[in-house]
Amino acid sequence: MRADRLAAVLGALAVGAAVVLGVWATGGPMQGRAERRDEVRFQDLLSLKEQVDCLADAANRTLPARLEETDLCLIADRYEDPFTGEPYVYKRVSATGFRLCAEFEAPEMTRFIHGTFDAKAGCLSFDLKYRY
Amino acid sequence: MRRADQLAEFVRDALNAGRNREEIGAALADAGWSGTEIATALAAYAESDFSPPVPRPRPYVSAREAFLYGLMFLALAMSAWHLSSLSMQLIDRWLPEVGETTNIFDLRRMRWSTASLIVFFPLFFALNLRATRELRRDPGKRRSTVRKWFGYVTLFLAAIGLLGDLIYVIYAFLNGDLTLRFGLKALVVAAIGGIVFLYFSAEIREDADAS
Repeated sequence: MRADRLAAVLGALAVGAAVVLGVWATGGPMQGRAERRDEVRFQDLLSLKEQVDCLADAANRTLPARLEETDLCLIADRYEDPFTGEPYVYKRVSATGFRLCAEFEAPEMTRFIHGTFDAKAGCLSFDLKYRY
Repeated sequence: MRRADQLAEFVRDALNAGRNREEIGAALADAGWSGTEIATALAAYAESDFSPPVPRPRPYVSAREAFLYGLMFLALAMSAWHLSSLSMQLIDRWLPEVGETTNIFDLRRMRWSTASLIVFFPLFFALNLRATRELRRDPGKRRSTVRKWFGYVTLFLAAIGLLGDLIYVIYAFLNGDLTLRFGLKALVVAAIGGIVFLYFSAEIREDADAS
């Protein structure tokens, strides 16, 4: 085989393999859609955190017992996952600490956005003592 | 003296000496010039009895060739770059360093490289096939200035890539970074540079044979 033909065949094989592996490793378009949905969930949790902060400020720095719609603070866009309809979970873990959780589809991919994200549980942790 | 000048000067002298076009064409063909080159050289002078021979205006470098070869080499460069980038990200993903995780940006970079490969590699392949066919039909095209320049620039970049890779291997060895992950990455760059080098050295050898 001539050298340039050999090079063309090797090149085509390498590119073919890389494209297949690339699509496989990144999970294809369905995985991409799941990541987009997770981004929305993540942004929702961050806006819920602002909502909790606002409610706590209004109640003399005390955490609210439940997350619910109120006229006092109108920060959160929604209280449930817009794709599944499941409510987001708000848990008090101490007098000032709380967690906000959602059902993420590819949680390991959202880790970079926030330092306190627990990928396994799908939860973000906050504390009123610290301003983020 | 440049080859084209040499040919033009010969045709002018021959016409001046009163030779007819058939004789000049036959003499040039005997000397190994291709049909297209002879026709171009003869067409450089108007067919009139005026003496000395009257030159016709002629294009210097083909804009069409510059477009086709420019696109072809850009497609090759993009394919080589994204193939190496995607391979490195795959290696990073499958052989993570301690404490390292894949994040969404890595995935998006991989998707970008995959998309670029899907566009640029078939483009390079198609343009290259077209160029090869044209060359087979008209071997005189091997003497195209545009083609030669693009070819040598690509060879130069491939050589730089390979030399840089070699330096990095030695540096990493001295630095104690010679891990499996690093070895695979160096191998990827060497393989891609090697394929490009193999391809163009064969092409350029044929060009040299043709000139």
